[in-house]
Amino acid sequence: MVGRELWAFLFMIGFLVFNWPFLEIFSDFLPYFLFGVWGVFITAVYLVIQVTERKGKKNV
Amino acid sequence: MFEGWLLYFIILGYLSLLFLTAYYAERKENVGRSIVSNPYIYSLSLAVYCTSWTFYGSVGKAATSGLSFLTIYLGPTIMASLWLIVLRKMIKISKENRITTLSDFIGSRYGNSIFLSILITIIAVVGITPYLGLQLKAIMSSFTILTGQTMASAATGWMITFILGVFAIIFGARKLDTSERHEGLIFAIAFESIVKLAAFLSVGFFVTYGLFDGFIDIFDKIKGSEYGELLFLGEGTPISYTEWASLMFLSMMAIMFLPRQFHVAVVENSDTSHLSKAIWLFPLYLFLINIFVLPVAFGGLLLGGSQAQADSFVLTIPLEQGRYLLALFVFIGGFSAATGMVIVESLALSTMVMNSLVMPAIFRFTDMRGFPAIILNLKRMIILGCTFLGYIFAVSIGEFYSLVDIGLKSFEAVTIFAPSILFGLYWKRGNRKGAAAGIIAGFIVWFYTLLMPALLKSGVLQEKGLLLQLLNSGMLNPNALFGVEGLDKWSHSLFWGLLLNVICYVGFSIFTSQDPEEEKQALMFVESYSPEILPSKAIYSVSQIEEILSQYIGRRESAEIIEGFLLKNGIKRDSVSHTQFILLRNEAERILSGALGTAIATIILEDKITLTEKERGDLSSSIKHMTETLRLSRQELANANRNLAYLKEFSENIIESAPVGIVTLDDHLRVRYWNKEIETLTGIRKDDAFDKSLTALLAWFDEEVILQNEQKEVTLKTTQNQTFKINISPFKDPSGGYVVIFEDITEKSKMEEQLLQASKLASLGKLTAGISHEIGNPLASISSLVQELRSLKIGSLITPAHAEKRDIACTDTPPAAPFESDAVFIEDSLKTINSHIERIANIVRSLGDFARISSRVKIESSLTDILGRTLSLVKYDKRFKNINLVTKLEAVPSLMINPDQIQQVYLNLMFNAIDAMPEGGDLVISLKHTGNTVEMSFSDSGPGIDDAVIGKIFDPFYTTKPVGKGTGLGLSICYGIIKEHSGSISVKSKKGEGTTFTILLPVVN
Repeated sequence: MVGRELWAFLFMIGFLVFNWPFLEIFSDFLPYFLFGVWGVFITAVYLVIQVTERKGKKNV
Repeated sequence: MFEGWLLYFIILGYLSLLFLTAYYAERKENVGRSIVSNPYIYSLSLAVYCTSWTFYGSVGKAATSGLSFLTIYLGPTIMASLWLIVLRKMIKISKENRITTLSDFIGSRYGNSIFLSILITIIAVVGITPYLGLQLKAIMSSFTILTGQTMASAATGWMITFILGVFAIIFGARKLDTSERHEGLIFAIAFESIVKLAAFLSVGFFVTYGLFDGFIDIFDKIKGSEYGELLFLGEGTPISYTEWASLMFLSMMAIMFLPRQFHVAVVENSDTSHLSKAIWLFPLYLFLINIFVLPVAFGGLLLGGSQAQADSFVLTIPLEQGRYLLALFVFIGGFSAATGMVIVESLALSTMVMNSLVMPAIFRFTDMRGFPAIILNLKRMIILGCTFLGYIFAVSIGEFYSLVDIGLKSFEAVTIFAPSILFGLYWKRGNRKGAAAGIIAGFIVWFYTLLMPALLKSGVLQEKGLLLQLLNSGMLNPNALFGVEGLDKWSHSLFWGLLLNVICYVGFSIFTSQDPEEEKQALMFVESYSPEILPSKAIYSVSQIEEILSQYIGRRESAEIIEGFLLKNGIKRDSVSHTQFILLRNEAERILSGALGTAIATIILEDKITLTEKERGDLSSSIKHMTETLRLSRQELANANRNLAYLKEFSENIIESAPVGIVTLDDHLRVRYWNKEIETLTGIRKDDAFDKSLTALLAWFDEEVILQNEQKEVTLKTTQNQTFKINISPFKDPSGGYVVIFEDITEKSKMEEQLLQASKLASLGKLTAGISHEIGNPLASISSLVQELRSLKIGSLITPAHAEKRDIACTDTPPAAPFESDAVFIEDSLKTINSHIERIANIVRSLGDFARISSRVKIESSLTDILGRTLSLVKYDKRFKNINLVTKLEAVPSLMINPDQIQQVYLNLMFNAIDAMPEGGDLVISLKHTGNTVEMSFSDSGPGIDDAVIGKIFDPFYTTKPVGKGTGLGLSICYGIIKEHSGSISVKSKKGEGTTFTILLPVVN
């Protein structure tokens, strides 16, 4: 997956997990779910940027 | 509680501190040591998104609607993941086109349209004014709470607005700025972001762990209270999933298209690489500032606060707990949040108003005395005007709405710009008419469904006459347009606004055409294509440029800039080349863009330094030509790319599917490619092999073979007894390297050996057949003659004549006794001759057997019976008496075999065993049935066979026995017979431990 597709994929995943039906599935502990997934999403973005930057440097 | 004058003093002190930080950053910038141009300050400046709405309003929203406040921060978090695609493109375009505002950006995309810039500016001012009002309302409310007086709020509000307006001028319009970036301002905003985060975390920590026992305690308590529904979403709760999704979408648009966000994210960006950190640092900031929102909101409710007063929980809770210093810190945090927004937003709006509304009207009046000062003062007045417009909204309408309600109206307003910007970035056909139609349609829906109800509620508009009829109509009810009910007001306005906006944009763009200027700009935006300005044929002077600049930014400033530019680029004022003039013109345009806006800067320079009609025509044709060439080139490039990708895939498929191992090496013998088959052959994975030396990977590989740098083929044997045929070809490429092809020929080698053995046997078969025939016949004659001679009376045959002859030869020998002695001698000789003849006959018979083995008929026979018959023959051999025979015979099926040949095999193997044990020993014969084969083995306890000769024992005429004791054909015959029966014969032997011959014969139905 190239960078552009990866970011678009991450964007779609983000929009999906923060909406119905996931919100209904985890409704019993919604605050924990929302903040937990939020943290995971930020970490995922951080990791993806680290990997893509490392790859970019390698290619250079 | 605090005195009003003290709070004024604190406010002024804090603003002064802010100014000092900004001043410090500007000084650093001026000496070329920027402390702002880094991703951390950039990320913190983006947090200007978190205004007093975040600080006060989120808690209020959480206390009334539960989790829905999170949508405002989750949306930007998700959107940030697209910044490297969308925002980076916007930044690149803005830098290349010297764009300084959102209205400039949209206007520039659609053919430098001043009409669109004006339209965007008006909508932004109308749409953002409530947002500015929200900040002022929050400051006034917090001021009231801290002083404990419902006070002369109008006067206080007026004063605070004025102070903020003045500070916005100090930060953004202290002088007519010739740069689009303001490092001092950004540093101050970043500083404010830290202050507001620290303040909110402090109060959050105090409530969560000071007043309660942590998150779980608060959540458990609120769950068990009357506010339990705040922890849930969907049906039966204050917010539906549709509203949740709509709010999230609105916040995603807001983070991109709010004028202040555009300003800090695009205009103030100094390096697009900062985005790489901002995409996770900014969401992390949002995460942290929201982590205590729910505890503070729920804590406030659990402590007896009302939902109506929840906006002020962050202040009232510490005050009620007697934590006045904490309350003061929170007040400063909230003030930071509000001032940051007011300063940046009013600066962004005033720049839009100045560039799009004011400058197009006045830029030609350059003859007016003190024109630069007029421009500067106008900008200052506009900043004050924007802040006071917010104040008017706050005191007239703001009191009827919560902070969040006001903020969301602004979010909906900027979403109107989204289709024109996003489509404009990726769709070349989108045109000015489409953008204008879409924006107008979106604005009408926004105004009618969101702003008008607010004006009605506040009494600014009255429900009567035509308006009353409209409101009560089934089709145009602002809360249920076209009779569609069931949507919350945000989703309702968003749905209709966006739908009509997109339909109008796409529809008009498809059915109307673009003018050449629009085409050029569309190409620049969509393809990020920026043609260089062509050098003009006309000669211009430096003083002419200086004169133009001085008309707008002042004579002294203009002279300083020009001198600085000439000095920096080593240009002499009286000899400026065309290229240098282009550089100077660009610099002048950049300066004017920063001060007046892109469109006006372009017009001014075009007016003043005009191209002739012919030059304009040439330029236009050139751009068209370049555009067309570029389009074709891109198509060709795309086709070539596709073909290349196909070829690459095709070649890789071939290499990967090849049944031979293929390796490519660089000139240092490091592996560059390692196909699937070589993985199988060597057990080394591609990832492990890459970039390693081939000789390090394959220890048995001789490096010298490759380094001779010529095409060759070698056969090498590995330590695991694999045999490889290796083809080495050097690359013809000058960079060097090799292709090495490995073919596993282990099985093939074995087969070749077997074939060689078989062909040797076949040749020998023919040879021995001939020999046995040719020798057999005369031998038979000799044998019969010898037999005949022996049957004669030898003594009588010795006659005197014989004796005379003998006497002549041997006169010394006595006559009588010798006759007898000769007869004995002849008899013995004949006996010896006969035994030798028998031996020769045996050999010839064996040769005959060897030659005839492939011509025997097979019949169904029992191996056990054959073995019994063979043993009964062998036991008569006197040597067999010393042999201890052990038989382990299992029941085996009858096989289609030649019984004579198999008996021959048994005999040969048994005699071999007997020969190997002259002093006696053990001979174990076993017979068993395993699967589809019958296994026979003959094990002796003899001295065993040397490793050196064990490979040759099935060769014809090879024997280890003393000369005259063996023909060397026995085992060859066995081998031939067993192969003839489609079986196999093998030997295992160890020196001193005996020998075992194993025969496997297939069971054939």
